[in-house]
Amino acid sequence: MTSAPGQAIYIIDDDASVRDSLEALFSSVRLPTRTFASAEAFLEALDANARGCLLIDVRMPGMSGLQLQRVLVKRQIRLPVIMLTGHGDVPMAVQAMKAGATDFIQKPFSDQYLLDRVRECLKTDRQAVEILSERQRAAERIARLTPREHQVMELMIEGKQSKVISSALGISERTVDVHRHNVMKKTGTRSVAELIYLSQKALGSAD
Amino acid sequence: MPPGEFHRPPYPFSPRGDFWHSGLLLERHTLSASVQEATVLIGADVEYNRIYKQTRRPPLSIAHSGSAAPGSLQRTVRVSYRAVLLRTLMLGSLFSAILGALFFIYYRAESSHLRSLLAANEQRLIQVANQTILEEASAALSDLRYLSSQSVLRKHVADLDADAVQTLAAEYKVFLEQKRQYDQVRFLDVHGWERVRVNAGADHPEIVPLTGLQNKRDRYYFREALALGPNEIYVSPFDLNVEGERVELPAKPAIRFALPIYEEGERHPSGVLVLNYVGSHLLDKLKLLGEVAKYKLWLLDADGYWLLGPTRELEWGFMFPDRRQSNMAKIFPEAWKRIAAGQGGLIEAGSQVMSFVRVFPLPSQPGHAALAKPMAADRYSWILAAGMDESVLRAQAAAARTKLLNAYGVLAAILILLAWGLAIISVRSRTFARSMEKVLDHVPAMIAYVDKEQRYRFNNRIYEEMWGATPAELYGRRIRDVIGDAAYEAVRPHVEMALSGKQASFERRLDYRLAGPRDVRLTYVPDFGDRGEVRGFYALTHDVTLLKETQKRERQRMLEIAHISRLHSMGEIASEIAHEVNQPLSAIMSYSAACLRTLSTAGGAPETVVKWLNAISADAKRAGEVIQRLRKFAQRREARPEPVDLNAVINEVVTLLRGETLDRGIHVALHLRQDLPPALADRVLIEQVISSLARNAIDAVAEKQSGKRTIEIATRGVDGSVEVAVSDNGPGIPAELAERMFDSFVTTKRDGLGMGLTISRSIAEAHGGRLLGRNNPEGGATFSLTLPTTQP
Repeated sequence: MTSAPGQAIYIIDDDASVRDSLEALFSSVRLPTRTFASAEAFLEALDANARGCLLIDVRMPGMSGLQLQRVLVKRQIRLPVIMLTGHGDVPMAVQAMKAGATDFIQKPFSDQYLLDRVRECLKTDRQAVEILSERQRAAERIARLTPREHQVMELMIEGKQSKVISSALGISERTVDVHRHNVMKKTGTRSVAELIYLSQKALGSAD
Repeated sequence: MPPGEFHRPPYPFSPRGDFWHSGLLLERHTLSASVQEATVLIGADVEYNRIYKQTRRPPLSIAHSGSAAPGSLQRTVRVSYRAVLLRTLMLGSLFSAILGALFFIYYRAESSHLRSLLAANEQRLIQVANQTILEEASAALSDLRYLSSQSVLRKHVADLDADAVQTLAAEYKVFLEQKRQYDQVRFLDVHGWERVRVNAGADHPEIVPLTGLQNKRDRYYFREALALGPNEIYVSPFDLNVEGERVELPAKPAIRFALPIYEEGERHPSGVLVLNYVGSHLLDKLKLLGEVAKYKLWLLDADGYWLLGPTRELEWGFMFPDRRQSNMAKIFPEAWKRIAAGQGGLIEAGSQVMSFVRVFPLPSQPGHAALAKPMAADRYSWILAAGMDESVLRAQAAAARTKLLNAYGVLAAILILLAWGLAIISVRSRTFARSMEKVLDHVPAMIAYVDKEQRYRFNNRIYEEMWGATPAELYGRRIRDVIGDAAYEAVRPHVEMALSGKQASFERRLDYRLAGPRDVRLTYVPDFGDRGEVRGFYALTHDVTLLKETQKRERQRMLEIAHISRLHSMGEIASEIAHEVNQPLSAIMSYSAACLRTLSTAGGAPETVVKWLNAISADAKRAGEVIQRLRKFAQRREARPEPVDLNAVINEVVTLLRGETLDRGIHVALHLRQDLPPALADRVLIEQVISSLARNAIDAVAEKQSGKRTIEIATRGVDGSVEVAVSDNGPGIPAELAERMFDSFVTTKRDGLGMGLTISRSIAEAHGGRLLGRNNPEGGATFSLTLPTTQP
């Protein structure tokens, strides 16, 4: 299994023969591909939930590969990017890598090298998807809390005792205990440490 | 100030090193707003005409006046009225003074002439007066002789009876009736008794009756006459008539002529005939003469008493005891001394000059008895003096002066007009000369005139400063002596050419004594005389050192750019080939890899097919390596990004292309944003891109057969990047090329390689920028170059 469900390799190159040959190469290793003749066409078809990796030719009429990269960064679409170039030079490569490209491959390339890089990218994307779904799960659990329970949780994460929480929120210690119980129950955590880990996951700062 | 040096305003350039770099400096000067100092002198200089037209006011107030007469200044000069006034005053007073001196000399000569004229008149008057006296005196004497020779008297002289007396009285009466100049005729006997006496009377002579006769025995004239011999006549002094011991008043001047009458053979006289001459008769005649001639006529006796004098009071001083002092010897002692010593001449009496002559009224003529007592005729003398009355003299002199002054006034006015004219001419020419000198000294060129003996006859100030010579060290010196042998050898053939009548223009590097070695452009223009002979030549020398250096730098820079551009183009071509070839190569490799993988998963392919597919891959790879090596071999210049002011680059490009745009009548409009942030780019490469775009635009509009040919270059900042847009109003981008115009070897130009836009775009991309081209809705095309700024 080299690609997760929903993952695809997006090939963006104005040269039809390059596009088609790449498609042939990936299909030979059973990797799904989608091809686009220009950056504009790709952006038009782009789905926010698209997964996989991008193979972008640097030089295209209209929007160039580097510009497309910038647009994606702006739209917070964090698909791994491999830049392809017929005559890349150092400043262009530096620019592309700075903008977050995973690799910068010069044509003609060795098929194995390209496949290795693409597989790495797909793995990275998969992990990113997993992290994202974990974060989503944690966030969903925290979202179940009432506003008052959320307040109590924040103070629990800070390590405050029930007594301190009751005086901070102006409620009885017994009520605080009830809220604490509800927080643990709703988030499915068994200790404050677990609760902290969960909240950090939800914020995306874990790992 | 040392002689020969003129006052000059401070010179704007330092004498050493970086000064008056002709061409360039001239241009800078003339383009600046301060054209007042600018150039007029280089007549051929078109710059002048341009300035003249621009300012509409000639610099330095010098203008071509067009139709001036040959030889005169062919320019108008603005003169200072103050200077003209001063000069007019100066010249006018000088002229007036000279004229005044001349008039004074003339006046002196005239007045001395007048004096001599007066003196001559005086002399003439005196002669006439003298003649009158002589005539009167001789008439009196002859009358007396006539009376004495009357027969009645002769017959009866010894015993004069009553009849005889009566006859005589009647005779005398007749006589006096005719001769009114006599007052009395008397005959006295030896005892002094008047025997006959006839008075002239008021209207008619009266015979004095017997009772009226008196004894005159004691009177001096009787006694003097009685002592005389026959035919001797006593002439009394000119004096006043005395009646009974007192001077008769009103005064009656008289001269008594007395003649003793002798009987034949008698030794003693029988009586005395006395003829009283009325002195006023003579004096009135003299007075009249004087009045007619407007002279003062004086008659003095031998002792200096006036008989006819300046005033009535001064006359007859000797007759009155209290007026003895009324004597010329007392009043004008100096004059009198001269009169007493001489017979005639000039004397000064008081304020007047008088001519005088000693008059001897009693002539001693041959045939007549000698005259007589109390002194001989040659000693009986008066003095006649004539002089112009002082007031008349003064009036005459004043009249002469007035006439002269009037003439002087008119002439002086004419002279002042003349002075005014001269002042205008001289101030004008001086002002012109000064302006000219100023212009000559400030023209950024060396100007000189050299005569045919190769001697400097004129030079401007810069000439002196360049050679480090004083004016005296240049004027009249030979060229060789001034500029030295080495420099002379360099210019000599041209000097000779100019002196043979041909204009010489050439460039040399000369080592100036003060300014050091300079590149100069020299022009020698021969100066022809009226008969076409060469009199010398005008030398105009421009310093072109800076211009030359600039040109040299420009050339070097152009070479450098060309070199870089060539290298870059090679790199770009290689790069383009690499790209173009790499695309199919990579497709080949991918396809063959896909084949291999597909075959392996399909389970068993013929071994040979796998081998061949691998060979395809390897060969494609090898081709890629060949391309890679080619690219490395033509390694293009490494870009050197730095902050670049695109506006400055555009200005430079436009300047470089000016010749082309002017030639083809293309209008270049610049719309450059002054607040444009600097681009981060390699200046040389970006200049190449802009230059290439501008050239394309020029070529595009040059195709237009009609209408205005316009190129527009605009700059602006677009969030985080800067954009240069080069537009033209040419035919635009052909539709069939719109997609491919940035590809290599695509061109619309007959002799184009089709790399310009390709290279330009690759340069733009190498900078992280973009190069786009599109057609304008209103026609023509716009290419826009976008580059990152230094602030990301």
